[in-house]
Amino acid sequence: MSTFFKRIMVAVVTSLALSFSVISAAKTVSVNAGLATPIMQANTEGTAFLRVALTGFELGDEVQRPPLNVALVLDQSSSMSGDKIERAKQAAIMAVSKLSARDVVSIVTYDSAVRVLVPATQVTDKSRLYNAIESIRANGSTALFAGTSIGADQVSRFLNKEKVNRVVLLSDGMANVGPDSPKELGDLGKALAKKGMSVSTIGLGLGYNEDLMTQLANYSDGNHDFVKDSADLARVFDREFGDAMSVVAQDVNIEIICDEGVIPIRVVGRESTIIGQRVTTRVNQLYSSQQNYVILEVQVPPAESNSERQIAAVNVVYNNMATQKSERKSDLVSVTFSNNNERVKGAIDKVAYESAVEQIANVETQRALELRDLGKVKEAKQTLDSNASYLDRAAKLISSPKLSRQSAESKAEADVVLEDEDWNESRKSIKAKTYKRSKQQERKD
Amino acid sequence: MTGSTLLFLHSSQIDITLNTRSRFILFLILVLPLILLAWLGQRSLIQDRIVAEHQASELADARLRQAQGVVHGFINELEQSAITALSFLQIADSISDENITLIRQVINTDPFLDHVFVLNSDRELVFPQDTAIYSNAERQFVTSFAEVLSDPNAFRLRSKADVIGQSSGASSDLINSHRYEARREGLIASLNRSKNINETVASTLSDSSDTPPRVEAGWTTWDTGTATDVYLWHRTSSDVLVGQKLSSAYWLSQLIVRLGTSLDAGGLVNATIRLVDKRQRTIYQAGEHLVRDNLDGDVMESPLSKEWLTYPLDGWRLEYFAPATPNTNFKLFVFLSSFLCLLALVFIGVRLVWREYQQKIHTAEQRVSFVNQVSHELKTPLTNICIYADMLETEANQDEHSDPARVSKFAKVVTSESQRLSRLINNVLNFSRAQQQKISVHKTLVSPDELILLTLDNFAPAFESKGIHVETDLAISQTVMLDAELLEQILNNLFSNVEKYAAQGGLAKVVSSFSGNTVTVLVSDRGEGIPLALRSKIFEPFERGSDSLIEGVSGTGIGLSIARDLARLHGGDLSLIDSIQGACFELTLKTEVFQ
Repeated sequence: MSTFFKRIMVAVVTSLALSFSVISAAKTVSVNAGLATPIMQANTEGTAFLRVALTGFELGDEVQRPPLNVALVLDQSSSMSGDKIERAKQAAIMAVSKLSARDVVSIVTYDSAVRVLVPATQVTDKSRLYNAIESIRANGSTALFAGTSIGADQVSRFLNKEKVNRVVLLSDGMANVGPDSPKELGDLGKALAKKGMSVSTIGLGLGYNEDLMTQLANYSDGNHDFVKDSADLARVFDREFGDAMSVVAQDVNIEIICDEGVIPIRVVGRESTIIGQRVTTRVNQLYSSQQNYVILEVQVPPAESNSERQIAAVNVVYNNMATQKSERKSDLVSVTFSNNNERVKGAIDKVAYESAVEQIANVETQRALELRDLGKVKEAKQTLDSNASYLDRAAKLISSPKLSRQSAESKAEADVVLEDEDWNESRKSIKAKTYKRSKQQERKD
Repeated sequence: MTGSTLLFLHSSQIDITLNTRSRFILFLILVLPLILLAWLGQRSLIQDRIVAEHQASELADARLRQAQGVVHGFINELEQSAITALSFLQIADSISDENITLIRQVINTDPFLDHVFVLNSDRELVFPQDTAIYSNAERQFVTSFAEVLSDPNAFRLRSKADVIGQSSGASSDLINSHRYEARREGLIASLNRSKNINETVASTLSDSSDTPPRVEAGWTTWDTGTATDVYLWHRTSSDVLVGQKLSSAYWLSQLIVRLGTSLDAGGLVNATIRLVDKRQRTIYQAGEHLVRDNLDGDVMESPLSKEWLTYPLDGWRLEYFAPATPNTNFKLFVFLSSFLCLLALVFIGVRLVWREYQQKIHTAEQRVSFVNQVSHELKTPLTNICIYADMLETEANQDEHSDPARVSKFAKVVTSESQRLSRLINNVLNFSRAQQQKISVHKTLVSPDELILLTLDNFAPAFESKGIHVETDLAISQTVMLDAELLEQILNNLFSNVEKYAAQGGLAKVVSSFSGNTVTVLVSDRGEGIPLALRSKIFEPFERGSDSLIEGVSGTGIGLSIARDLARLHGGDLSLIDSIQGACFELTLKTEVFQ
């Protein structure tokens, strides 16, 4: 008994010491790659999940936070009138109050047309910004595409790798002037991501198009929030700006080169390019002390028991916001094969396994939503039900309370898809939830 | 008298006939200029509006042309920069792995680029192609691109203006090659990870600087049903076609930014400019004028001006919206209101003139009737006097048979008729004097009751012959200062009215009283009374309760008018007071008591 406690004590102390040494040693992103199943069944072709975890270093006192270059793009269409616009103004003022003279901000409003209320400018005169925000009045239609375009243009005027370049878009309605399909807005988000900007979208109330808002944010790993009650706007804005201020790395390019015979299948729940053995994906930014991960599904050829082989090499290149330098990190992933079932099970990396299951189930939930959209309500329910049991099995296997919760959620959603009443709200809520899960955004909420 | 009456009648008739004609002339004089004014006003307004509309549409056209210039400038720049973005590729009929890596890098970093494709001189797809290792996105692109590729006209030049470099001359070639280098240097910097790539780019750089690019280029737009894909391509010297699928979202976004900046600088306070695509979708709008849309997004308000865009944006248009020129509306308002005011003034004027004219006619008619009446009135007593004087003479000639009673009776009739004549003449004289305000009051010491009885005595024969019984209730026992003549004349008029108009009532009641310094005499009858409608009129000169010439009752129509004038001259009044039956006149006279 006492030896057990000693062991635990030793483990805790070493891990603490290790983590301290990591923090104090270097302000770099730590990259850890590994399989969810480090030991695989021998002599059978198997699917494995490779997890690349990226952990942002802590922004301590000695490291200045990165300067922001933000465009606040606010919906002032007539549907915003009343409490919504007032709350939005309060939230915007609160957000601006957090900025400092190193930051650049612009304020753009849109209804049928777009107005650059405050062109991109260094935050030196806050009262001018407050006055501009106070002057906003709700009226007209929703030119969301043009609003985003012009907001992005404001950001591009101070576009700089050393800044956190971001468009924060608030909308409560359907885009009804200009391009309005989720695909077009998604393409815009993609182009802006290529330029080095991220887009965060905040959907207010029940009138906005959640597909459009999530796709717009998707390529740049921006945040997306569904704010049902405008009273929550201040909290969401606060979180959004807090996030932007805690960015420690940007333009994170992950390259996974699979070894001969290992076939990359998909990166679960995110955009990626697979050419031959080479898989690339990009994470727009990493936040201070936050872990983000990418799950790659691979097909592993059969091998003899007790043999060991390399699966893949992982290279991560990113722009360190603290040092303003491009840094490169690498890791290797290998696997051992065994005939012993217990050994295979016992070796499971619980964290990696949990992440893989979480993302796989999340993709399934998204698929269920698509089925529901096509009117296939039964199939949607079936998908969610089997998703729930899949999550449940995995939760039991690695005894993960997190997956149990997700299983319960999936079960509840299986009932929700049957209902027509409040579906609009439920869909927004599920859409936001799956989006946040795929971006691992929920960690901060 | 008769002559003047005739003259009077004649002239008034002429007056009337003249007026019916003048009415028409007056109408013409007044209305014709008004119509003319209205016509001229309307014409000038129309002209104003035409001028204003012309100015507005010129402004609209100018602004739209400016916006059109921005769009076309943007498209040209996009074309130039997109082609230069790929022109470093020295592609022969096959494509090297280095080139493929480079293309993929460019796609990953250039926001304008969705995909790149390369066709060899036989127009076969060499990149991306399914024999090589390629990504999912590339695979999808190849699938969707197959349709475009199967159209032999998809990549054919559409006009000679599409040949870049040839039309823009040497100077732009220079700019072109500058851009090339800038572009390439940027690329070298971004690709500095691989030494290998560096060398490739460097070699292409040195190659192309010798020969300025003369590029055949063109646009291809392809409708997929849900969207329009835009391809931009150019032919290299080795007849390889290098094309790219542009990110519609991004070039639209950039176009919006460009257009927005330019339009904001122009200041669109009272107007709105819209960019509408082939599918009638508003891509962008700028300006402060709120365009009236219905809920479905269809435009209710029609644009003031339109400008179509040209290839490759054929089918797209710019629209200019502005409110109808407020200037003209204001002018119309001013014109209409002043015209209406004028119309109202003319109408009021005509009404006034017309009323005056009517009044004059009325007075003239009354005068004619008055003269007729007076002549008639004078004739009756005169006839009586003549007859009785004749009879008196006959009686006087029959000396022995003369009957003193008959003589006396005849004489009395002559006397009374003379008195009546005298009263009549007095009335007429007084009336004309009153009109000239020449009557003066001579007060002497009189007993009003005695004077009443004396006057009644004078009327006794007339009352008796018409069966009018006289009742008196006289309560002024003292003498007062009064103009006896004046009082007598008033009483004469009142009694004469009773005789003329209320004989069938059979009663004339006279009540007198004195209080303070006012003598009050009430004269009432039991005749038909005076209808309500006439009560206010009976004191007007020439007004009579009924028309005598028709009904056989004589009267001049000036009696009550004179009586009231006289009473008022004496500091009193004559008024009609309410009674149960017949008429009741109350006469008051101011006086001083004299003991």
